[in-house]
Amino acid sequence: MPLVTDDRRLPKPAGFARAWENLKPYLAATAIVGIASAVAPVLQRLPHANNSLLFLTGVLITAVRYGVWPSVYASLLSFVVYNLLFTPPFYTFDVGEEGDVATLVFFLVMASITGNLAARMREASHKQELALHHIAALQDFTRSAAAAASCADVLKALTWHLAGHFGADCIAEVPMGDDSEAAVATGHATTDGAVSADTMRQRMLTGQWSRWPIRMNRGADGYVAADVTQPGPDAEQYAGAIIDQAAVALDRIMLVAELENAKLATEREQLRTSLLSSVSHDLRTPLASIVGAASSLVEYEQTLNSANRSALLNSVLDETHRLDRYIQNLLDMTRLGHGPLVLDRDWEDTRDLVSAAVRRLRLTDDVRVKTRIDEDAQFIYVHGDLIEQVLVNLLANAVRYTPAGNPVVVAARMDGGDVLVDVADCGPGIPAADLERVFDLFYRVHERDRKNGTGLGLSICRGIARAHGGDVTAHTRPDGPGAVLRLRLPRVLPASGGFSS
Amino acid sequence: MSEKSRPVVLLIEDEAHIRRFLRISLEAHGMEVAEARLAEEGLRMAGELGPQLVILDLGLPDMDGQGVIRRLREWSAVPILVLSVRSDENEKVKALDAGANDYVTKPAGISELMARVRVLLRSQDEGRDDEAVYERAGLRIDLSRREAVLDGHAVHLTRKEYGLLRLLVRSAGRVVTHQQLMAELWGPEFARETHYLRVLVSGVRQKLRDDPADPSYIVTEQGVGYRLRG
Repeated sequence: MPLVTDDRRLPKPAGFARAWENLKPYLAATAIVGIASAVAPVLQRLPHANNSLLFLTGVLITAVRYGVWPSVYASLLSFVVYNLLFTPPFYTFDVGEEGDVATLVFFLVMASITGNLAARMREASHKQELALHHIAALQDFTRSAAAAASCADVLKALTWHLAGHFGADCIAEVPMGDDSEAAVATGHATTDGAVSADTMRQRMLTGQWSRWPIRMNRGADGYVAADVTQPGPDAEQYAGAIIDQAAVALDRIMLVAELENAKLATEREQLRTSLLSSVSHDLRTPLASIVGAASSLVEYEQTLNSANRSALLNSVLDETHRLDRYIQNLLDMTRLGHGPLVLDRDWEDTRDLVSAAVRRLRLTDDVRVKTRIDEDAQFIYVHGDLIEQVLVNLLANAVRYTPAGNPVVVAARMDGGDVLVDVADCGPGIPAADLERVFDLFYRVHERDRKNGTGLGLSICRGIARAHGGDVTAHTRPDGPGAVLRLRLPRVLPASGGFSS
Repeated sequence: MSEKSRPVVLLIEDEAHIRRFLRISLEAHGMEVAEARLAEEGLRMAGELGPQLVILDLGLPDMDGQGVIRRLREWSAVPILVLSVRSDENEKVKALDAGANDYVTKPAGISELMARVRVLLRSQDEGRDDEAVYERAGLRIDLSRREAVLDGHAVHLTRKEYGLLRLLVRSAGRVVTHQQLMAELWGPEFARETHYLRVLVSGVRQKLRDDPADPSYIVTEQGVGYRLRG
């Protein structure tokens, strides 16, 4: 980083070295006056030459290079030498002519004024240079802070800049709200990056570090500290400016994060609401039939014939079973949602599973299920209860979309090493764009809550199939209108041996 | 109920068990029942049979219930009773504003359902004219004479208050939505300003000495509208 080498940054010289540092300007001033005295006799040979101008030049050079006090020293020395060597009587401090006295006084005054001016100019230009460097550094920092994606990145840039600026180790910390850790970063000038933040914090707490607050609009204030005992006003100002910039960047990042969190929370809330309303819809549909049938029985007990009475009683029973099925689905869903599903595999007969599923559905007369199961696909090694639930859900889905009088077809066959079970309906089919989306947990909800709430059923099917190493996919029926939902199960054999075991 | 023929009720509902108990109960009341599982099927049957009442489930697999109501209303004035498992008021209001005549939220007991069915069939028998007289628990509202009498004393009503009662009497037993009342009484541009309506209803209830917590006459259908007890 192109930071100007500030005097304060230099290591403080001790003992002899320091004395030498302090003496150097005066020695240089003495040398300059010496050169002027050596050149003066040569100059005197020229017409209209004025030795005083020569000495004045020497004072000016001293002032520009070394500042006020060396220049005052140079002017006094010049006065003495000039008086001694170049005004009669020579080699004495006596002043011969009155005019010479005036010359000498003017000389001294002018020497100190020009020296002073030059020194101030030098200081001003030095300051300006420093300020320019600070501005460049600040811009550099602002750029890196604006590009930062996280609070830690901003703090990293901040400590890196300050470490470069002070030539000292730095640490910065900003609390990130109640439930997350504070963002922290360290900048290294005298240590390497391997020093941990904890070590650095410990050093800050025990040492004489300078500390500045990072004032935030959102959330609690943080701090940045550097291993410098007494930063000068310039450094203080620069640190202030750079910390302000860091605070702005941190605020921006926190605001973005807050908005993002709020959005996520809203989406989560919406999902929860959708799920709840779908589940209650699923549960209420059979309840409506139960309440309707039971209240009809109570109200019209006398007027109903026995056929109707038993029909209503059967409704109550069937719908109670359906309610149970929905509740089973909910339980399966929570099972699928929490950790890996433990499969309890055993040999099952596909025919039995399908007929059990059909029985559980308790279909009414206007829907038929046609079953076609190839012999080689008859026995599968699966978790029977779960696969039966998959078939129940697939069949319920197919029945829902099949117009009265049309069949639902269940076909099982081998395909390579996999068992395929196709459930085909005669419904309107699934639009190509939605073939994958139907497995989305909330597909139906997005679809304006049509019938039976959630796509819970299908997403559970997929979950169970995948737990078996297989999958459930949706297809367009090749032989006419309708959809085919395909359960694919890789043929797994028990570890202990074949079917006979 | 008229003796000339048995009224035909068309059930458009995809739940077999709900169709079953409705059919049994409606037939027990001497009605003829036709059933449809899907919306398209139901719309076709409505055209063929010319039913006296349509009972429509809002959640059909092939078409949104609101769409079915709009399609039916394009050519038919047959009363529509909406069945819905949703407790969502917006859906009910939308269905009513689309032209449905009343609704029942499932799960509902059969007596509540049959009461709604009777009101709708009767209203169709009587037609909608200003000849109607409403009588219940000491209150008599005679639309032809433009008067309301409570326990033998004439009730003094403002023009708006009478207008409200007239609308409710014409649909006695059925729900009338906030929007329908607002549009009739104040004009369609006020349809959202339901606080006017709440103040008006409260005034009428006071004059009829009707307790809002246990009303004898005007029943509040929360979030939907009002219903005059049939």
